[in-house]
Amino acid sequence: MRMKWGIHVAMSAVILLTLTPFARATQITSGTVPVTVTLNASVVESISLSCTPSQVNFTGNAGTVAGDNPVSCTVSYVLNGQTRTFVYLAAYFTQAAALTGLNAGDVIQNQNILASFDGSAFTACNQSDGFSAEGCDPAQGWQIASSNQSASLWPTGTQTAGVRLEINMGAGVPVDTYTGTLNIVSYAP
Amino acid sequence: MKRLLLLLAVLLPAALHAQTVMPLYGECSAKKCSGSFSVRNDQVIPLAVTLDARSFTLKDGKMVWQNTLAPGVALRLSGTSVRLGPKQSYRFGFKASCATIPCQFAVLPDFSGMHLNNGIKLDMHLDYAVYVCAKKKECRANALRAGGYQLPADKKGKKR
Repeated sequence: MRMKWGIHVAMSAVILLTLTPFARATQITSGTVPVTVTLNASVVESISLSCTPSQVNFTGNAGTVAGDNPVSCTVSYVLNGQTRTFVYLAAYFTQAAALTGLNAGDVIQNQNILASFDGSAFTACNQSDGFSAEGCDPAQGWQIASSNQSASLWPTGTQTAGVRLEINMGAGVPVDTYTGTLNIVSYAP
Repeated sequence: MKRLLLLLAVLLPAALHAQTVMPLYGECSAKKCSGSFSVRNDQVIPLAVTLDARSFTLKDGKMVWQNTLAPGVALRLSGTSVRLGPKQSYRFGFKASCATIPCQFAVLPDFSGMHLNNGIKLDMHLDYAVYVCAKKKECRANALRAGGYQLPADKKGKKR
């Protein structure tokens, strides 16, 4: 029994003697060698787009029929001002038959859809705007912001533009319920 | 308090429907072309996002888009659609190769609106452009210069 107790004491002493130098060494090392933490951060460019309302309704059967609401598009951008020049907003259909009716064959052609950007003159949506031949805007789209603008608008900022839509019913648009999709894209070359 | 509520009433609709893409472009070398980009639903309701891809060329300071990817461009996406919850982001990955160098194309996330019974529905698109060159460095800037764009950094250099 005594012998066992003696062994325990001896082993404890050996363990203590072994660990103590490490503890001391650790204290000394942490005081002399600075610990560095590397921080990496990527600040990237982004564009946000929102258009409200997301649908426009038309009711009428003759002449020029205005949409029930103007569309308000907001573009928020964070860009590298050294390599970006413009921000554009473009609107286009993907086919000449911009709106199709429930009855087969009933269509409203893109040339009868008119769009106005921020109070500008209405333009038919059969422009070749770079995205399609059914564009509602001039080549490249409407310019939202550019590097020539003030620091408050470039290279980061938020711009809101109003888009109004009309349908020129002309003559011979059959009575029907029509639907179509207008694509709105914002991009910065 | 009334002013604050009025301000919120003006700002909230825009905030509710915003969608974001980041970063806006990637540069690749012809040997190895891969990357990723994120789309974010800034709305407070779920949103479906589908991806479309188009080639484009740069000429005379203009971007001319094609309806599809040009022949010779092979693009493999990690996914082609995703349903995003409120304020949720999703990262798409891609691998691509071009038969001829340099080449450019863009992946356009389509943030579709709801089903419509009457009138015109608005679909919103943003673009993530990919520039593929023999060498990755300055690939985009060189493509823009070759396409007739004058970069703000170049203008500053001239002034000096």
